[in-house]
Amino acid sequence: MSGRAQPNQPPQGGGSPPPANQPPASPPGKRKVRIRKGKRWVEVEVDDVIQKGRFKYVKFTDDDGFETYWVYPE
Amino acid sequence: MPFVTARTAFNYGTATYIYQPSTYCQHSTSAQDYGKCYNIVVGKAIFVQTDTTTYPTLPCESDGTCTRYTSTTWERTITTIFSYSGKQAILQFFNSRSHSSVAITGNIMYLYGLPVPVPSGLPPAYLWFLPSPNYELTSWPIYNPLINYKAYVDPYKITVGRVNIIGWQGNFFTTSAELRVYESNVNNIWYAFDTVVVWAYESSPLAIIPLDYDRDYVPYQELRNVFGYAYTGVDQPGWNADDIISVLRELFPDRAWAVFDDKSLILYLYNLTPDFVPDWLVEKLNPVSMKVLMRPSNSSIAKAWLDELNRRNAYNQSPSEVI
Repeated sequence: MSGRAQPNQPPQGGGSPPPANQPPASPPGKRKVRIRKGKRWVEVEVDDVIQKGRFKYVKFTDDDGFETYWVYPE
Repeated sequence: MPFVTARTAFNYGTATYIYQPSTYCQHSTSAQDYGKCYNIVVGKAIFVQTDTTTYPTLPCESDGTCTRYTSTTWERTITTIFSYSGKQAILQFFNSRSHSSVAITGNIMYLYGLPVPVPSGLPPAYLWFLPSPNYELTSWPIYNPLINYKAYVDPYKITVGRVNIIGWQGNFFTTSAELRVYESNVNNIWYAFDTVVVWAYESSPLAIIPLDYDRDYVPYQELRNVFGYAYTGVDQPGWNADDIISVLRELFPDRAWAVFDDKSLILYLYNLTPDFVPDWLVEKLNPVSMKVLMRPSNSSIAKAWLDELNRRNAYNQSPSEVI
């Protein structure tokens, strides 16, 4: 697996960790959707939902740091 | 290993989406309008005239309606349809229509002025997947049920010249194919044509970038067999998506391109955003997601990629209908 340049790293969190037994708080206004990644479903924070042509895309920043557009299944 | 279908069309003067184009050129040297081409739909017709003393410039050259060749040949290669690096492809279908100053006569091997997709490496005019050269058929149309081969002459009339149509369906295993025209070393001929070609190839990661095979040949050599070439700019299979991305980054850092990983079903975009990815490409590849490797610094780079892909693939629509 050579050659692909490293994407921008996601920002490393600073400050204090969330209290125990509580999930980390989402930034206000960001909703979450479940999408399929490989063989599993994961929840991601949505940056935007875009309709282009006859396809709808969920825009989010993936774990690898890339700006990613998940295509809604038809 | 699943196979996927590729289809493309070549429009040289006429176009697949026009039922009865009236494209023609004047090749009668006594005519006042000698060397002019009329009613061009898309692209340019082809005119062969070797005499550059009497005819330094033909009118159709001046007004951009023809490409002129100044030497005759037995067989002219118009372009490469696809050329894969060790990947299996199967040529399956073509339909070719030409308006030409020369008609199909006698032996159907000698389809003067009518383009035929040919697997590379065959001797000139050795179209052995077509009917035997010994078939002397003089009545038209021809239908050979054994190989599903059809040929027609003059299904409709044009002002000057003949209309020739052939169609073929079958299987020819090859790694590359070219579009060639049998000209029989004849001077002062013209032809305009549209040809549809269908082939299949192994599902693979794809490099999606229109490479100009003829003029950009040196960079193509530099692809180092990481991926193949196809006129569509889409059906260019390689072995490994990461290797394709690596080579494209190196060769075309300032152009827009995409790479489709057929395992993870991710479409990687470079100098592109989904705004520039046409619906027909999403329908063809059916990606789960798109990832932006790099946003375009200038939207004209991305637009150039989209326009060229549309030109080569949205062939069933007139340009004004292409989204």
